[in-house]
Amino acid sequence: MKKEIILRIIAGILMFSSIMWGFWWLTWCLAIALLFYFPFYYEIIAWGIVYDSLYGAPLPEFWNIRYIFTIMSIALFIISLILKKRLIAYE
Amino acid sequence: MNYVLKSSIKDNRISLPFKILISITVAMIILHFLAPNFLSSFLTTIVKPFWNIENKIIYGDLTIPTETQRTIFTELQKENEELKRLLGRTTKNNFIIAQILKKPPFSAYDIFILDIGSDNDIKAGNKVYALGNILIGEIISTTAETSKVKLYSSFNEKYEVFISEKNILAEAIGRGGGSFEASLPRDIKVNEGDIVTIPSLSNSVFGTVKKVISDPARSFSTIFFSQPINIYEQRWVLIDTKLMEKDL
Repeated sequence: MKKEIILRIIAGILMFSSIMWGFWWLTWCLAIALLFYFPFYYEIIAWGIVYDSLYGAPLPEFWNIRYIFTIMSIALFIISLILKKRLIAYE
Repeated sequence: MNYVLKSSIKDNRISLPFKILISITVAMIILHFLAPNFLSSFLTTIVKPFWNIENKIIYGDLTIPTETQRTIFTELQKENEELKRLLGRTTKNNFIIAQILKKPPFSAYDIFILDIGSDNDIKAGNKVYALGNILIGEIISTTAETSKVKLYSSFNEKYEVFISEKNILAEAIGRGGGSFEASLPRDIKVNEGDIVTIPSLSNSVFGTVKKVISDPARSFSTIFFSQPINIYEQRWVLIDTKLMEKDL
């Protein structure tokens, strides 16, 4: 339990650093990896909200939606839940 | 003996992850309508020192602090205005210099984040110029200490422009990275190197024509033009704090 909390804190620091200084695709690759590493990685939604709060803007390339990464993180979280129920590796 | 398959056991209760998801979504929707800039302002205040650290590492520690540089710039601008007035040339611009804290390709959104905001009278709609009077975008939102600039070259952004000295009106479509595309009837002659300007800003160069593709089978030719600077290499920008009556 204690080990998982420490791992989650380290993952949080990595995600924060990636949002601050990393390329956006690197941030999201890391988020997806963490999503499948932890049983329930709720933090991905928080990172989506943080990302959109810092960088979000209504641009035509994202259909003028300012919260595109929040929506994406929620969708990824739901997809991961469905996949984990189906995949034998998570039984 | 019959066994009930694991997949056929149905639990109608809403699981904890979905409860959390629903709560977050509802909270976000409420926050969006009640205080759309609250989260942005709060988080930007927290992370701004981290962005400043990044700039210090990339560009080295400045011997002159940013505020001092801004004061020097304002003084030089006043002096420039006075000299222009003496020579009979007046300008109506009211520029503020700003440092770029974040720029693409690090963020997925094609925007600049600047180190000044509503505390310095920056408002949404203010025009943003790269050094050399080159219009690159406009302010879309501000917090007290930062502001976001939407680049005109953002993908699929559409603007009216004048092409060449003949002032041919065309619709420019942003293609990202300071590049644009426009379509004109094939009969209209446009050459590579022609200047592109914006109708409402006659003295500001918007770009130069780089390539003209004209296919005899098509009635329209495609004009590719780009801004005369690399927008991703900029460190400072100028913000015109005077709001235009008619936006682009």
